[in-house]
Amino acid sequence: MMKRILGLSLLSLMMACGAAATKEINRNGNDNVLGMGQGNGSICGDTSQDVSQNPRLIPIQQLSGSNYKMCDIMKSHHSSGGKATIFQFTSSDCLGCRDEAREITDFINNNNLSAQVKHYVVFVDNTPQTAATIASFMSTYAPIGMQMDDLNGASAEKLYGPGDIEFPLAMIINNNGDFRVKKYSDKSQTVTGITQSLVSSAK
Amino acid sequence: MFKTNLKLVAVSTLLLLTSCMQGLQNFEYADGSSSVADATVNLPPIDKFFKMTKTGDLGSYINGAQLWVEVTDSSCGLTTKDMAQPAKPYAQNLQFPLSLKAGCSYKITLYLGKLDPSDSNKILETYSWNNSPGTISKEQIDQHIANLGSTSVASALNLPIELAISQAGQDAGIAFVESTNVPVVPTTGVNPTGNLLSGSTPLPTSSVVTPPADNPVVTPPPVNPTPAPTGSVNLKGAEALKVVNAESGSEMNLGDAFGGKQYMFIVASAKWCGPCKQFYALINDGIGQGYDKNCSFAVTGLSGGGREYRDASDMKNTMKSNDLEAKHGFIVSRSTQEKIFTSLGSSITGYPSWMLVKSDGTVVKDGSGGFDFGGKEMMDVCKGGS
Repeated sequence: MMKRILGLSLLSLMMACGAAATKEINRNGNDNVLGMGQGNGSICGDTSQDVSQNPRLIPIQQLSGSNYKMCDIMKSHHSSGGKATIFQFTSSDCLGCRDEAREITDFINNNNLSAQVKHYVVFVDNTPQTAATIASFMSTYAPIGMQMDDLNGASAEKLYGPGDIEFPLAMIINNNGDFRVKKYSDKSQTVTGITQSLVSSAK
Repeated sequence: MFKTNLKLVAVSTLLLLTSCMQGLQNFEYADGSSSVADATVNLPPIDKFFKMTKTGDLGSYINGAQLWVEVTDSSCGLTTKDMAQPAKPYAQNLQFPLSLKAGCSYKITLYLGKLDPSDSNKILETYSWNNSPGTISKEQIDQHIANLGSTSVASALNLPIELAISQAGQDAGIAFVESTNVPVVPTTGVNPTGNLLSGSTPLPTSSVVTPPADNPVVTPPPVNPTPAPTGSVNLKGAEALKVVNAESGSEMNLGDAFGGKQYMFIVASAKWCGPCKQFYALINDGIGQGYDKNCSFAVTGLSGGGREYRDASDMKNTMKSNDLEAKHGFIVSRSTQEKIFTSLGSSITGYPSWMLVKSDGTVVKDGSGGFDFGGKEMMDVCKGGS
């Protein structure tokens, strides 16, 4: 009897773990697009998956032109002791994104998290015409953040999923591989709240 | 209409006087050749320039900013970048001395930018006019000089602005003029693609510029007429800007959106802008509480497809899904949206931006670049509380 109960418990636990690893939330009305998940220690998770199921694999571009998957950036950050990384997707003229960038900056500074949390601001409209605005954005609202690019917005659209993209849009990953996509329309949590949570559950 | 005619007569008279005073001057190109019909060349009147310059003072946005033109000669490998002095009113000084060479094609772009006060070579912020003006050749400029006043090379080339060759003082130069008129099909000189028509003969001196000697005062044809204010609404030119209503899909003047109210709450929004939808809720709630007693609402949404609205129905769907009636939405181009704000001395520094403006063009509250509504204070104006 005890063995049977133990067996059922283990089975339930395994099912629960399995469910957690593949839990899907509604991302812009499409249940087939994963908006959050657990990495169970693997920062990039299953690299054979499509980015709709594993948005950690979505690439963004450094100013040098090199492309890196978001999870690989988190890996790099982890190797130097980092716990979580915020990828904030934005248009240069998005005022809400500026406010959000300032909140993230204050959150990191006020909680002495600069070694643990990295803030990347990913611009979808970096052109010669917007360069000065972007420079002003970074220096004013994200002085400890780092600029990245998503030149045609394709990565942001993949992250957002089907439908009409809205900014602010953010992706937060921790060194356990747990991640969460934060859309503006999701008012249940803030980027800083999610980050706090993911720092807590980091390794 | 009568007032408009009076204005045109006045403008015409001014042109004539200016024309007579300037006399004949040669316009020389870098290769030493001269253009034709220099004597007829005059700058158009001030209210034909960019709308944002109409007030003579570009307002806060222009504070510390400069206007300059970049001329790129792709065919001959020459680049000219002449900075304009930040003098005001800009409209009268928007001239850029240039040397043009025969056989070269010129791409001309107008920029508005802010320079770093400590380093004049460092550009902090730039805005180039939408739709690249394209290219224009010396020959086409010559033709424009010949036709100035009767037709427009810029219109014929389908450019967003007119190009006028000026001879203010001793300098030949280029002035940019807002093209608000329906392009005139050129009868001579230039076909709609901008190429010279073979065998065509330039028009003689235009009646606008050179009147018959025995009749010095003539009424010019309505080239670039100043748009008449819509009803009693005067938004310093913005009232005549064309917008497309999201509900009906019909084009109308922005001024018509006032609907007889004293004030209008104007929002600059974009489809990708999540926080812009906050305004939808604010307006919807405000209307429910009687804030539409004194105010009308105009949510302008950028068109263009991609991350922007495809068309009026696209905006209509978005507005309805955010519980706001689409009759308050208006599809606009980026340049029109900018003009709405700059005409009134404001600017769009990001999305959303907003203004509460009175029907006489007075900006009651300027929320460009922020979410700070002024909340109750502003809405009390709409409700009739003050």
